[in-house]
Amino acid sequence: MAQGPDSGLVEAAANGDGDSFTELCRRYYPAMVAIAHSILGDRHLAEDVAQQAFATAAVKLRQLRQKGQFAGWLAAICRNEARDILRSRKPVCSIEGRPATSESDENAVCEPVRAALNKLSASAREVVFLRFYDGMSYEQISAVLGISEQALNGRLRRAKKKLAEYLRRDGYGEARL
Amino acid sequence: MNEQKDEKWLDELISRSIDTSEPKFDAEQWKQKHPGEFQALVERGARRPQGARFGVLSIVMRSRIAQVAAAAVFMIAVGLFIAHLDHDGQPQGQPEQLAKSPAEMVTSASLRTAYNRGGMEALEEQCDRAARILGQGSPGGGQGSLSMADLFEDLNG
Repeated sequence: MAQGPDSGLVEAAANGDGDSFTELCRRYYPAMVAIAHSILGDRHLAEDVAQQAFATAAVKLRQLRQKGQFAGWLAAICRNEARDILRSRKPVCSIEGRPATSESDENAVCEPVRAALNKLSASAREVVFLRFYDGMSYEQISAVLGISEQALNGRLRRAKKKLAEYLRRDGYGEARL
Repeated sequence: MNEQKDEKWLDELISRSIDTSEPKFDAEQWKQKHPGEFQALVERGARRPQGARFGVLSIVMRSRIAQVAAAAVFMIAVGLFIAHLDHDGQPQGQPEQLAKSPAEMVTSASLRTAYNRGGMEALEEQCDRAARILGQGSPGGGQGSLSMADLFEDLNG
């Protein structure tokens, strides 16, 4: 994502322009939902957390000194909100799947993948969710994570390698799934 | 299996396993859900002109370097003011402006102040001025022939 347009919107929002702020929310909503989803494992709760993160950002926006780092700052707020929710819940956290489908064996196919995703480190799981959520470019993801696109590629490759390793270790090779 | 095939297989599985459809942000719903926070953001724009009055102070307070520089400027200003004062805590001025009469111009305090200001030359100049004033007021004055020794002799009797 280009630094310029983002910084201009952040500056305007910090000066009280509500439209600029809602445009920033629209731009980063998928990323925030993906981050919260990777932590909480619940899509609906993740959407609530993302909206709460925007509310916190609206109040604290004046405290952000480097306007170009809005995406990373917002992501940090979202992670904290999600972790607070996670701490207040029961310690069970498993990633929920897509809405129920007509195929009866869908869960049997997807459950091992969700279990393997839960075994990944928080940062590896986050990068996988960010990559697979629709509506986000590599540029946006790297802005949110505060890393270069090359570093993002490397992190994603390592996360997927680990995921495949967990699946094979649990006996779920390509043939079985 | 080769790496490319492996990756495709995994990508497909991840996409099937988690709900990754693009979430849509509803700004109006969010504003209704968080009215206080949104209002706080928008009201900042209205409050801004009043805050601009303290622009210099806010610039100084924002940066550590600016704070140190402001403190240094303040200390230098205080130092210069103190240096400007004489030992009695009085601002330096022309002794003749403070002394009301020739007698006061040659008191020890006035002479010391003159000496501090310009050394022996200033001291002698002040004495000459006192003598000139005395000469103007006395009959047959304005001769300008009174020396410092004569003046001290006259004053001490």
